[in-house]
Amino acid sequence: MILDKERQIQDSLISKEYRDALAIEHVNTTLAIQIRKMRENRQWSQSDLADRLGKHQETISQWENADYGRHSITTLKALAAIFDVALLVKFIPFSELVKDMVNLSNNRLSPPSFSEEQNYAHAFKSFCTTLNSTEGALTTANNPGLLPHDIPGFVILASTANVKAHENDRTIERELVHA
Amino acid sequence: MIKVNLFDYIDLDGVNIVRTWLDHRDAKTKAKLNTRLNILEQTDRAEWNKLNTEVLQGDKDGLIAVRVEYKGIQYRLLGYDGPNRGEFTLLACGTERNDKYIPLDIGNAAFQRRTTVEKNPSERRTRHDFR
Repeated sequence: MILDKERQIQDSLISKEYRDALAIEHVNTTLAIQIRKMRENRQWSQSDLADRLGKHQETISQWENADYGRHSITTLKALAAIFDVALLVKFIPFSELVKDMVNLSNNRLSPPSFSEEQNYAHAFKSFCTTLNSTEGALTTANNPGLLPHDIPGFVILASTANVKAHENDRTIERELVHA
Repeated sequence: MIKVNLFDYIDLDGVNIVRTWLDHRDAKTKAKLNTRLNILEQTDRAEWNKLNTEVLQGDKDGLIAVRVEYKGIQYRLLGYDGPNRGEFTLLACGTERNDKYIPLDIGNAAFQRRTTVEKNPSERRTRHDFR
């Protein structure tokens, strides 16, 4: 079904006016959602975020409205710093836009902060050490998961990291949660 | 987490009324509306209320409006959760001005179409077309 939608969106790009508008609307809408999701994942109210930025709560409400569409690069840079995530603004072909449009996972809309990534990396290393594994894969997600009992110092939070580690001939997949 | 698939109502003549209505909007408006529908389809149903959807009351009780504002016009796409779990069917499209829907009978039309869909879901609806 995702392929069907991808093909449909690709077909719709024939009209220049439509594809230009679609690109703009996708950016506008996903930015508003990202700001809200990153704020909520940190359990901040709109007022909390406004205080951190020296803005009014109403301004944050506007930024989180999918109909707003006037986010400036300056604002986005400030938000990236507050959320401790990177901001990447670049030109891409429409084919990449379409792929992004059909793959709006929670993890992509609310990326982990730098410290979360560090904690995930630490948890991953501990996990691999426990398994006596030298290789594996780490991806982050935002679904609550179970805590491996054998890694002390970690508790269950809203954010988790999915890990895959290789032990001898088998692959072990777990969700880790940082403290 | 429950994500839903979006469906469009197909009338008795086989016309996709959502697609037809969207095709009569200008390109920018259509892009705006399709963008919102695409986001909704990938959003946990429990979070739809954070994306400008509204559970309607009164004479439209049981319907849900997808609310999109563009260039001063309040667009409304009315639908309902169903006919099956994990599905949302778009039934009627219009605008809202001064707390009144245009067309005025959009609620009744949506209810009638919902009944039609419930009776024959395989013929009276199709997956939303994002073209």
